[in-house]
Amino acid sequence: MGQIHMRLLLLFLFLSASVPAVALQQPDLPTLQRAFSQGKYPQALQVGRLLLQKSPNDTQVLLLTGATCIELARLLTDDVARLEAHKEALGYFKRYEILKPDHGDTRVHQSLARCYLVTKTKTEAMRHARTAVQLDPNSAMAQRLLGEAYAMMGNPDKALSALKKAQRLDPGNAEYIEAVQIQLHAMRRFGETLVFIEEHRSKILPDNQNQYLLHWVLHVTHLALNNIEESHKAILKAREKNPGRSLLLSPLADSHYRIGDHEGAEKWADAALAHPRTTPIAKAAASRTKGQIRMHQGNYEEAKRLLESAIVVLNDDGPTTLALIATYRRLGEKELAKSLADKYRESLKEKP
Amino acid sequence: MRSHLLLFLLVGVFGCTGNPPALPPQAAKGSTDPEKHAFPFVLEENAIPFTHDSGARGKRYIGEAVGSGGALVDVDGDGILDLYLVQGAPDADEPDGKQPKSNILFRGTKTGFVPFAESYASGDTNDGMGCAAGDFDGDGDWDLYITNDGPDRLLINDGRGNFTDETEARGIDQTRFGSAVSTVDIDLDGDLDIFLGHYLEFSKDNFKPCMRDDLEVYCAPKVYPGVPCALLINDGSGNFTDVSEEAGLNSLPSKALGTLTTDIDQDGDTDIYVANDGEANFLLLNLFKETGKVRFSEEALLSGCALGEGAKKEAGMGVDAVDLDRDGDEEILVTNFEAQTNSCYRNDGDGLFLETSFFNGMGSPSLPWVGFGIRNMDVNLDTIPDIFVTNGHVIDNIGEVSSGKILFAQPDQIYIGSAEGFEVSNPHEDAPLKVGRAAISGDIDNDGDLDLIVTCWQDSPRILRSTAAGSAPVIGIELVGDGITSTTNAIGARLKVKSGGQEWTREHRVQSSYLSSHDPRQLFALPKGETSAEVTIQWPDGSQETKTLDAGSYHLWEMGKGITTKTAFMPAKP
Repeated sequence: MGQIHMRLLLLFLFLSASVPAVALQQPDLPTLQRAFSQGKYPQALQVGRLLLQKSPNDTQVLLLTGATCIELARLLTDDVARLEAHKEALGYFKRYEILKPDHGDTRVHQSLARCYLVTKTKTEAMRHARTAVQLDPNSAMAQRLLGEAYAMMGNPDKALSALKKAQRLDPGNAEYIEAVQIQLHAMRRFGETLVFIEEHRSKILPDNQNQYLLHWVLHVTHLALNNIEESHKAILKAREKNPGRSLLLSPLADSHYRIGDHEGAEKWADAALAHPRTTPIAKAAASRTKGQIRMHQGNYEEAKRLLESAIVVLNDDGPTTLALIATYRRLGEKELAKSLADKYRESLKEKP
Repeated sequence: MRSHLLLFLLVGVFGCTGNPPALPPQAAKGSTDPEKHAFPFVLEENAIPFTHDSGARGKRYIGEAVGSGGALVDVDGDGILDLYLVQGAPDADEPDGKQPKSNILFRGTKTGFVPFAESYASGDTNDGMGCAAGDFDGDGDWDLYITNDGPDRLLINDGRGNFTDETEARGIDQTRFGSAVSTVDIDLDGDLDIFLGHYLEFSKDNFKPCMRDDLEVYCAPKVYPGVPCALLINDGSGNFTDVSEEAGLNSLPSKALGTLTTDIDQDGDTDIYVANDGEANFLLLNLFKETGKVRFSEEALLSGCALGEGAKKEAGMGVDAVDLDRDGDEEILVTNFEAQTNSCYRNDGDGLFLETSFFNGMGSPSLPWVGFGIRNMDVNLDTIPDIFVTNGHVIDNIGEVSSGKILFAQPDQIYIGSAEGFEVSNPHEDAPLKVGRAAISGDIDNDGDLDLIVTCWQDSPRILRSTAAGSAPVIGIELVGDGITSTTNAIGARLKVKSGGQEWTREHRVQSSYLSSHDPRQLFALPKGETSAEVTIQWPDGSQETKTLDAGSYHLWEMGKGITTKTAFMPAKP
């Protein structure tokens, strides 16, 4: 129930972002352009919507409002709100295509590809990503979208190739390194990820705001390789580079737990649970960590409460499930344990 | 969005389990400080005239990558362990497939292992995997069961090491891809039954080439479907019936490479643990005691020993059990693939386990390697269990695939137990690396310490001859059941040894590790200065006998008769 409230709240904020009254009374294209370029996306979105009510076929406004939706989506932490933002953007870009079928603008195809990727419309995503690359083969973003489209189509080798090309085209951007890492991760080629990062990390300047991302990627990769000490060092470094990043709190808790520092784990889990921008998934992960600690402490009732709250969100998560089964067993609740084990056994069949 | 996705991946895949054991070894990370421990082993290369042939002829059939094992057992009754080594074989229509090498039985002598040419056992040319020694016909000598990628063989011993192939005559018709085999008395009728691990369903007809970039590699097991394990019930005279269906095994496709007999719930009947390659492991609880029927209930997930660290399905290979925390029940140890820890499932009693490898020092040092044979043994005779692991990759061209970053031949490891946890090192770091598979333990020179035979893929086996004998008091015990309420091999008996204020518990089994059958005699090191130990045997029927045994000898302990023979250890070599 609490989760639904949170989503509705986010949607409400997204849809009704506050905008100065003057801008709403006299909406015009320069106001929209100014708000967009200043990163005031909620304001830009409101202005764009009003302009399109008056002139639904204004192609410039369509483009800018669509782009505003995508930028705004990047800032959202809620999956539902993000999906809605992309769906809205998709509407604007599709209308633009109808009005200007021969536009030949790679950015429009990139935007459409992105929207279709988010809405999981595979063939359309692939079609627009390919067109975007044909129009501008040297666009790193176009290559990246093509890579993501290949990944969605189940062609990991081609995906990797396109993502590596994107990274070569924009070597100083940590996001492209991360994209390659995600693909290698999906292909379970963890060792190769480390080599890749080592080869390319020097290209990310020390003062680059995405430096933390590199360490995050290292953390994830070392974790995949079960190098717990290295993964722990990496996430501490990521935290050092970007102390305000709430996304790191829950993984910090998990990392401390894995190295056996239950006190540290508890501290970071509490921080994650208290932070207003922690996502429901991250909160559940933090609850899991606390639940695992309680289980080891022999406080099975409290462990049960925490782990049961975690598993609502982390449905098929192995560590949560195993900890909860172990807790049920130790509480003598064998039927609950059995039912959970049976359910998890089914989900395991699908896991690599 | 991307980071969010990563968090989701993380949440879905990783986590942690386990606490340190309450008693040593506990709570220390493994280290690889070579200076810290001197290993009491002498490495003997090429001392056994045997070269393993995996059968590989360029096609990269999956089964070629995982063989083969063997058995250390005194088949001719001369008091010295003999060695049976299993050989692979190419498929018949492959190049030089018509000249397969045979399994070889070596007679143990005071000067080494000598091929036992007269024995039938030296002539088996099937595509072999594992081996189990057991007194299947109850006549007091050791017979052999050999698993093959193809028809298994049962070889009956005449007591002098001469074997007759009686597979068909005794009702055995097992043609699946056999791997590990364990001898066990499932139905508590005093004869040896056979539990068979089956690997997967492979034939040349369903062969699929697998590629890593542009290189063909051995496929992962996920490419092929699993197959059920099998249970063969002995009628008391050494004739067998396949009861897999009634036992509930046929509904459990496995990819078994390791099997272990252990009375997990300590209810008096023996359960089975199965290490599966790439799938969740099985804990097959034997329901015979409760229901009077031969029936298993698979409860690994419920018991906490199905998955590895972080709740992952791992590449289970070898398996062993030992009471690390000395609470009277045995932890289960499983070797796994690289980037997976070798698992240590701590037994919390009542059939409940927690994976604790990262907490006790077994985890991190195992991550770079592909573990196969695993054997607990007190290598330095300090009374604390140690663990030997032999490693070796399964992808023969992994060096090329990984640009030299991953080795095909890999170092062996010894995890030396101490009050602080495990310290890890390579016991023979100057020796050339080999691709390790089985680790078979036994006192080959009868001097009161455990030596090891390590089989190596496409290579000759190694002997790690222990030089620890004489550095601490040791008692040796050989158990013989009555053949009525206990098998003659006394599988499932529990040994409790008390000395110097300490206590050790061990369940008697002969097979563990990887495709291995060990010396059936038990050795216990005692605290320095002690000269004897109080030993209690709980036989499989629940009856108990207690004796005080002197250090320095093997004691033949016959059920209901007590110690019938005492043989002093041979003098330790200087």
